[in-house]
Amino acid sequence: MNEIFSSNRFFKLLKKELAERVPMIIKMAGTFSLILVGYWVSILIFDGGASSATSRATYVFIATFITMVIAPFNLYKSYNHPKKGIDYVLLPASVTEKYLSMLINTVIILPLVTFCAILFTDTIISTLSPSSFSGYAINSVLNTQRILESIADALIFQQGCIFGNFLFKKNKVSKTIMSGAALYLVLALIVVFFLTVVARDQFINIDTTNTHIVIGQNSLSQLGKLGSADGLGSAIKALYYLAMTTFYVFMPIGFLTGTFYKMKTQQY
Amino acid sequence: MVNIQNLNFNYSKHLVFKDISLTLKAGKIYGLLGQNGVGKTTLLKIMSGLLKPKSGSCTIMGYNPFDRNPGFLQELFFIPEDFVGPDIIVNDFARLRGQFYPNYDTNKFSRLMTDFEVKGNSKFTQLSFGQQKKAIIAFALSTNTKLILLDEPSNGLDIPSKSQLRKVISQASTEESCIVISTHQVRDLENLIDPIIILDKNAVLLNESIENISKELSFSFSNTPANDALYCEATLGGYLVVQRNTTNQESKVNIEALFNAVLINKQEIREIFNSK
Repeated sequence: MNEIFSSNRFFKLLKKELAERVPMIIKMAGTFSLILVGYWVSILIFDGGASSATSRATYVFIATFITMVIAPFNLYKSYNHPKKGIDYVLLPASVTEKYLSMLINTVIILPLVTFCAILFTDTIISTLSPSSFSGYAINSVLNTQRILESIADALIFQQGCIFGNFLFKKNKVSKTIMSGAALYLVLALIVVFFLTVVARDQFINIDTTNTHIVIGQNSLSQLGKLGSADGLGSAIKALYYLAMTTFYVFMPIGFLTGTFYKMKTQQY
Repeated sequence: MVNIQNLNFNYSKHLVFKDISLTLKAGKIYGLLGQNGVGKTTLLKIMSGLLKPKSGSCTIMGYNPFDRNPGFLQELFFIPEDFVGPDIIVNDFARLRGQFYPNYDTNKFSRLMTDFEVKGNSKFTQLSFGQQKKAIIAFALSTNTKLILLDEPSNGLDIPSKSQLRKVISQASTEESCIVISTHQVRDLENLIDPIIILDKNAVLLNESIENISKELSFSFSNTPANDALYCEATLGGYLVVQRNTTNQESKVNIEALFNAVLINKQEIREIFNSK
């Protein structure tokens, strides 16, 4: 018997997980779709102007992002519960299978169902009532570059939430938010310390160059364009690359590894 | 089946087990007794892989329980004292989980649910605590796992259900399986549990079969309290006396009296059973 991974067992587990979580997934996707319906009804009642496809596409992203963040707390909140978690941890499947199944449900299925449900709702309303919902949100949403950047940022944030869900037993959401804020504060302090003490001269030099740094409002990944800016000293460029590597590589790996470790070693 | 050697366990500064060793064999229904806080639940949790021993070893069917290997988990079922069922229909719960246990018997589950008079088409959350417990016991026994650990299974059960429980557990016991029942309600499970394990603070006081106990100790009723009694309890019309068995005549073991006798005479009991 394969004790680490068996595809047969994994698909059984995935099927079981989905069957048990479908009501919750439908509830969440339905809630966000109903909000859009409510918005449309309010436009009709209060005779508001037409809602643009871009603003509704933004709502789709925000709703999907919120779903991604709350997915682990909603779908797997009791994994490390001293009583409720026992049923799942003693289920005859390996930790790897449980981990992958959890990731598939929280990272892919729930956000994807929500994303599609809202877009579907938007498409129906836009077809029925083009005067209230101008254009189709799906056309704005399917901007590949924007999707990829948003997904990358949201995924990193979600990995942190998944880890928080397994790290804390009580008040998971508030503790995860506070820990995330503390982590970013520490990282920010390190960057500030580096800029104002270690690479002070190069930092001051930026003032004298004509480098104009604008961070895009859509995504943190637009910081990547900073690397090609002229006039930045090597120390600052190194700091930038280090910060980007930390954010996009070390942190996600740390969160994913930490979650797996917690799942494997959790005591009840 | 279960081999525990020099096991140590503590919750931060609270020592629970100090260097305990214990062997459990297949084909038996063990009764795990002990005062509150001696570590009955902790021992069951270590055996089921929910807790990791600080040192020493616990090996079950060749597996280290804390590794939680699927091969081990599919031969183990642990029912905690305060089982909380998920918000799903009982039959769905059984169907979805049963497929992970190679010897799961759907018909047996339906039969036990009928015996326990629990509706399988209800959600766990719609059932009372006792009904939830009966449903999970029915499922546990239907998995036909080799090791079943039950923590206070009779808690929350009504009187007819307790007798049903005795019946279904005795039917579930096979030559290959081992059932461990931790309980305070010894009367609920009298005539079922054999051997008896009595835990004391940090140690195992007794791990003996009913046959051995009745060879070494005698349980009798007397009009007057005996001077050489290990334990004497006033009852209606006389005294229940536990003494050393000097006549070689075996008597019916009263588990409650045994438990009290063991607690009062720890050293003497150790000497009696270690000198066999």
